[in-house]
Amino acid sequence: MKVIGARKVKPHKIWRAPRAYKYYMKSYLILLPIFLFALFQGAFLPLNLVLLTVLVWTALRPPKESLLIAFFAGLLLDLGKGYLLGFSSFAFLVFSFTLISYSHRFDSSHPLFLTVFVFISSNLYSLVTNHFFNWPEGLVLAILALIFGFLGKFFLVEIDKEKIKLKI
Amino acid sequence: MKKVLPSFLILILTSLFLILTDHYNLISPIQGFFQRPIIRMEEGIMSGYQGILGIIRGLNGQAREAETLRLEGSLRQLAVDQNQLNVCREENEKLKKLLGTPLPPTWKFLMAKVVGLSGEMRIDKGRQDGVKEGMMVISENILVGRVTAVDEFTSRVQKLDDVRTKISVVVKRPASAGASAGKPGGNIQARGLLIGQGGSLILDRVLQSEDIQKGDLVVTSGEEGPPRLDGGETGWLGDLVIGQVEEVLPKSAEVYKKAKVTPLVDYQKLRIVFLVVR
Repeated sequence: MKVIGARKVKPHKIWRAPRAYKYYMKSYLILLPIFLFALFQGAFLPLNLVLLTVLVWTALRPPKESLLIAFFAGLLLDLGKGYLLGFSSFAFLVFSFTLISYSHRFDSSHPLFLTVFVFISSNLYSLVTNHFFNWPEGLVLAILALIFGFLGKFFLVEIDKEKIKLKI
Repeated sequence: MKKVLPSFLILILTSLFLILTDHYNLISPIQGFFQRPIIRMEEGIMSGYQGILGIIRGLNGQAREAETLRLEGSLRQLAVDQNQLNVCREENEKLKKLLGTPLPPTWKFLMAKVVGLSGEMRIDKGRQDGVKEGMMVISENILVGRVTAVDEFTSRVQKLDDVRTKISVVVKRPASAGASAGKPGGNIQARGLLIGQGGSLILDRVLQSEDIQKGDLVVTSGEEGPPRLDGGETGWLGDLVIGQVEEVLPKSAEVYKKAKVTPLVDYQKLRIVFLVVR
């Protein structure tokens, strides 16, 4: 504290956001590309990239964060495609929770496990929305999951290093 | 797992709550507030996508020229058939007046823009425009689909190749020198059931004794009666062209024969459609 005249004056504090807060806010930036995917899917894109992104994120990120992402991604997709609001959120939450549950028994971030899971989830989602198994779409998403699974694992090392610095 | 379970349950219950409230249209104003800008953005994306598709097709102009010439010929043939159908209809109307049969109300049309094509088709007209479930959607007298779900500002349309599609149809030969043109039902070759199979159309329940060939027109028969607009099982309006027989599938030991049908409507090129308002 400074002493000005006879009064003690506390130095002016400048509020800075905690580094952990900034770190978590960056994680939710994934909702921006998810929003774009939802728009494209609503317009013309036949591939369910929103589902792929949610499942890859669930495999590579903490469970609570993944469930929140799944919920909001579902809402965005419902708004983009005109489904009942909450329908896709429900489906994505179920898939994400199943993936999180299996993460204790299998390595859910392993690209091969994720590939199979994405294939099955995509077909189940297609069965409910379009009333048939769209296996070509599932196959394409599975291949993309394999690629992004490998890439995600690589970048995860960088994220883990930052977590260690923040002691999270 | 135990740490995640409460969050999961809260989010699942929230989702179920949203589903129920949306099902009973309790949150339509809020949903409409968020959907309006999204619909505008999707319209822009669709326009851009169709523009790019047009450019690509233009680049493939040479390869498509022969196909275009063939299609133009088919279109002319269809125009002739349409004219004959109109003649039949006029004769039918006059006969009904003579018999004193009540006539169906005059069809009215509501124009709508296509804003989404993946899965079901989405159009920019909804409940506030008077759209109801079960309304037929057409484009240039060709059947496009039927409205299956209606929001405040948008509606979803079941396309013909949807697996839920089952339409009673008649197969007609395009008018030729030997055909008995002008006679109501004179060139009906067969009757059958058109079924959607996730991307393709199959004409089924055609008797083996009935003759169908490649190029025959598939038209709605209207046998199930007019569509009901209360969301229940609905019929399809009659005399709407759907497509042409592409290939008659090989004979088998079954009672019925099958054929592949190519729809005349190209969903990728659709920008404007019309709802039949009754």
